[in-house]
Amino acid sequence: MSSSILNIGVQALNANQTALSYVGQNIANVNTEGYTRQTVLMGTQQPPILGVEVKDIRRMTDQFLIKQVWADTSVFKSNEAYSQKIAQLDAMLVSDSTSLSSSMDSYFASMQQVVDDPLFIANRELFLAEASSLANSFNDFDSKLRGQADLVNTEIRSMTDTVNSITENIAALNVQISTMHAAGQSTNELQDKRDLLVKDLSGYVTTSVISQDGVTYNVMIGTGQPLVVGNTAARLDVRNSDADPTQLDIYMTNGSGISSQVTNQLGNGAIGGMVNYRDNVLQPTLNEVGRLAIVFSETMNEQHRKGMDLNGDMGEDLFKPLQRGEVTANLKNENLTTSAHVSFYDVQELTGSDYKFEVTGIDSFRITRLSDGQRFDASSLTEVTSADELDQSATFYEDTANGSVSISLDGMTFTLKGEAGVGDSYLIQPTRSGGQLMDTKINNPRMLALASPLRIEPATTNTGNAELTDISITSTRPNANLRTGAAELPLEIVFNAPDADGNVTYSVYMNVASGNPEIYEGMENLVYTEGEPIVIEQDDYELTFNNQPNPGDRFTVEFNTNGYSDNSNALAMSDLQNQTLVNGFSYQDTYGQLLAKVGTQASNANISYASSRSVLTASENALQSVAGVNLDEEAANLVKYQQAYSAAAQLISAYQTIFDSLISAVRR
Amino acid sequence: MRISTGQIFSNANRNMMENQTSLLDIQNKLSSGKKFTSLAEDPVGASRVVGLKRELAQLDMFQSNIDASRRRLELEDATFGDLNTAMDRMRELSLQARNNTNTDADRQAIAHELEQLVEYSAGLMNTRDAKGEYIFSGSKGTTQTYLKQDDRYTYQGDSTARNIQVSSALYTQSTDVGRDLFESIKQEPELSVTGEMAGAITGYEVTDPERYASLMRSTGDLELRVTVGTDGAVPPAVPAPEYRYSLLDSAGQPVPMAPPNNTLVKDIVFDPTDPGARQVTLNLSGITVDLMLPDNTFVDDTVASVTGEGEAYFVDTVGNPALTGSQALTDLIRDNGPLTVQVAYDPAAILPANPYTYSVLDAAGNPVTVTADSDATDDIIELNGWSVQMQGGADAYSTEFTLDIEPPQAARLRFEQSPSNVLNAVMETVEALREPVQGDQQALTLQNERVNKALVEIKTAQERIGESTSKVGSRLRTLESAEFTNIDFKLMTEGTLSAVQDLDYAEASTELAKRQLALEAAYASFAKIQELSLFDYIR
Repeated sequence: MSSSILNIGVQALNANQTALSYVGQNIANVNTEGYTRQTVLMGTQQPPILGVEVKDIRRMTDQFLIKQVWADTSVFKSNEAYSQKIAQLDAMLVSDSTSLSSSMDSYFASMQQVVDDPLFIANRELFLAEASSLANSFNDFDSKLRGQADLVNTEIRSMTDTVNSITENIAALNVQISTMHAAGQSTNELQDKRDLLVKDLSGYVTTSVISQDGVTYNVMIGTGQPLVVGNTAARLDVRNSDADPTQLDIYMTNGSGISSQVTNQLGNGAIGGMVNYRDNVLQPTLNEVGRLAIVFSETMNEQHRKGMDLNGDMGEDLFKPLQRGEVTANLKNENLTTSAHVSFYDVQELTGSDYKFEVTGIDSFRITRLSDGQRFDASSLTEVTSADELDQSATFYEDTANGSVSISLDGMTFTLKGEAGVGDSYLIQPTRSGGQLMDTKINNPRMLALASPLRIEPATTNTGNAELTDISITSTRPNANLRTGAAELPLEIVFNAPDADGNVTYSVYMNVASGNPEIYEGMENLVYTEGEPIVIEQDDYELTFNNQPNPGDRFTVEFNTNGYSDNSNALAMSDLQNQTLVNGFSYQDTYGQLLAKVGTQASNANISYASSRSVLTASENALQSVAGVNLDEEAANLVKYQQAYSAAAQLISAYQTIFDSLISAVRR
Repeated sequence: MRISTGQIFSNANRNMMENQTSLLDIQNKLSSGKKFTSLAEDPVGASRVVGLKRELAQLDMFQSNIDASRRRLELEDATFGDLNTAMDRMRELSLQARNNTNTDADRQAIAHELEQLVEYSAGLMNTRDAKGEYIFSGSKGTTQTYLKQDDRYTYQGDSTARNIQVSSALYTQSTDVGRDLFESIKQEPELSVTGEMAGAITGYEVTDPERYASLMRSTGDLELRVTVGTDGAVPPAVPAPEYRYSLLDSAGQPVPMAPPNNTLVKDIVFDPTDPGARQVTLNLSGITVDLMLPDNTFVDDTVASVTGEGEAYFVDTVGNPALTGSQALTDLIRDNGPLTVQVAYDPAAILPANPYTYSVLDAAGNPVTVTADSDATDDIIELNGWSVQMQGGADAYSTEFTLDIEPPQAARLRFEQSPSNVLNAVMETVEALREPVQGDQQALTLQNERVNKALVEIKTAQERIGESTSKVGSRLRTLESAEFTNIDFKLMTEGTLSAVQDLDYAEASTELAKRQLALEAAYASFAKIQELSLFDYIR
């Protein structure tokens, strides 16, 4: 091509026209998401040819800034998902209408009515109604939480579907881009699209992109598992967890058909945020509510069983007894013929944690407390020699006759029966279903056991000032003598003159009504100490007296027949409100702690959300300052290239003038 | 630094959104009046609110307890007032009945009115509250307090009062028991006898009720014990059985007879074959008790039993197995408690050394003196008159056995004094007044004695009611002060609760104005910025 002015002019025109069209492209796409502005790089023609040509259409981006944006998007989306879900839980808990503590206040208020007037049937019915309403509050609370858990699962499912469609698109774009690149065409717009897809993907999982040839994107998730390699995309899918079928786990199936579990390897991103919320906020809250329900039911039942109802019988369970927790065998276990269960030896020691039991060897096992990760194996537990001694924490018992092993820890006893294979594991959730299962058992107001089962009647001839201060029933098991009617009653406690050492003694007689009372169980001439209980061991009760009796003072202990106006057991039940029964805290304090914990988590989530958003904004701004379109700048460029175009047009016109001069000079 | 057009708009957008959100938040707070609308804003405050609300609920509970209790106490107070009035009238009538100028007809009229008053008072004692509970029956609220049978009233309730909680650390009694209120009249003191040997007590007479009561108050239950032992004759004399009786108090010490005698009734020997000797009258302080002691067919259950290692059993003086130890042994055990005998047998011991060496220890391990073994040659060990047969044999061994006694037959004597109530006292007077005594001086005197007694009894009953009325009064005052304390606590707690959860309106309104301003500024600045564009200036 010669270097004539015409040619130079034409080249300049073309080049500037191209530049103008790209300025137009920038202006047109000023609001397109993910659009990177393009600038035209002009270069001189190769000498000796003169002129200009468009060397390259440059995409003004910075790979480092883009990767920063992707990373920050992951963190932000994770915090966003987490804090949104926590905000829902927060809104549910802050409302007074769902407050379990308010329901308990109503329950105890109605209990005071029966303390005042135990005989009045209307008071008893009101109390039963309040008890039932309290159980319903627990049920509602629990089902709301479970509803949230279901929603979380649904969202995880739909997010994985979205991830799958994004990765497919990325793989398709990879193909398109490399084809067009090989053909020498500009792939800027497609690259923009691909970058935008990777940004979306980062919102769901943490991504890292490696581009070996500078053209194809290979996308790894989180810890390095390849998601997109060239033109193939691995699929994510959601399955029920092996350890706990009510939970979902995420699996990745790569091109060769191999699946692996990646739930905890997804890094940040919305899916990670959801899983974090589920595991660290929702499940523990569900467990805490369950624990409160279990301790409340069992402690109320225990006290209620110590009383006497309007039919003269000892009390039965007021609430449905919650004596079993949940155990799930891992689906991958070798031996599926084992049976396992978890029961409670002391509900007051329960924590809200889940536990995992694993068989680590032929004869060895390990149990892990999942809330803090502490592990116990046979060497850190104390072995006991009978099942009755399993009422202490950190003990275990191997029953070789039955082929079972039992471990007691934190208030619960886990028992596994059968030959488990090495590597088998079991998920133990002692308190998970407490809130769901809580219910009242009594609906007949006459069966409320509010009176004491025993009456202590002082003789009319007593002259001392000894008085009864406490009757304490020490066993509520079904075959206790007081319950079956086999108790030795009435008994007579007779105080004697001080013995040689100056101690006042007492003797206990039975068969009082006959003309020949006998000493009961060898309880003759025992030393009386004010304030120390007189223990009637066979029949499981203790009596405590205060002050000093005179010789000959006597008290008759009998079954509280017709004593329906007595309210001692109702008083004792009402006192439970203030006792520290839930692992060192009272019922309502435990609920308060639950609120504080969720509140703190929510507050932290808000802080993380705000900070990660400002970090993301800053990195987006940094990227935009390189890649974003500035209309004013483009306007200036428009003028620039327009002028150049005009100038180039003038070249042609100058050429035409030269040519015309030449022609007219030659014509004759 | 370069800014893209998109950044300008998205920044402005974000600012406006943020300002709107914060404005909405302050508006929520203002309309709800709460300082925090989510747990995240004040987690610790949220848990404190739970605790404070619980305290307020409890204070309300205490108040309703106080109200219920107050109503009951006021009912009791009114009942006491009515009873007092009735008893005043009873006194008047009794005084009137004492007048010797009354005719039989007059006395009948008085008796009639007295009977009406008794029925009226019984009705008051059987008061039921609004819900139908008998308020004076103790814990037997469904049982009528006083039941009339054969013109006498018996208390059917019990002695258990009910407690309620009126403040966080205060429980008060909310019911009063009829037994304490009305069973105030003491009748004659009596003696009640139980036990296998109860038949030995044939009669008694209370000579001085107060001294009798004070005797029993210091001794507790008394035990009459008859034991059989030997007269301690030493072989070769044959020991003869000896019968003794003792009267012991509840600490096991013998009881002295009435002064000036003061002899202790301990191990007094009597002849069971002589019916005259078996009849004994015990002269105690304030009471005399007639006994018919058992005869010589009496079997004393006081046996010393031997338990321990090896073969050992009692033998009598001629070597035959016996079931009992001697009285001396029994006395020894009674004085020292169960004895442990440690025996070592050494077959290699050469006479006159006893192959059996033994030591006798009491329960504390101190040695006890016993009579020495009289015969070292046989396999019998003698302990205080009776013997234990040991195994001999060629091997040395040592063993240990214990001696203890079974309790003897006894009779238990107990102080009894049935209480009665003013209703019965007046009914007795009514019956006495109904008897025709006109003209019969002796009968009249007897009747007047009965009426005088009734006057005393009515006074006792009124005093008791008076005490009870003041007790009720002081309990009402306790309730009132508990009420005031609770009100103070409630005020304090409400204040704390308000400080934790209520919005400071002044602060919030200022905040509202501030945020409103910020939003308006955001709007204004956006309007200005979006106007600027180079395109407007290029021709």
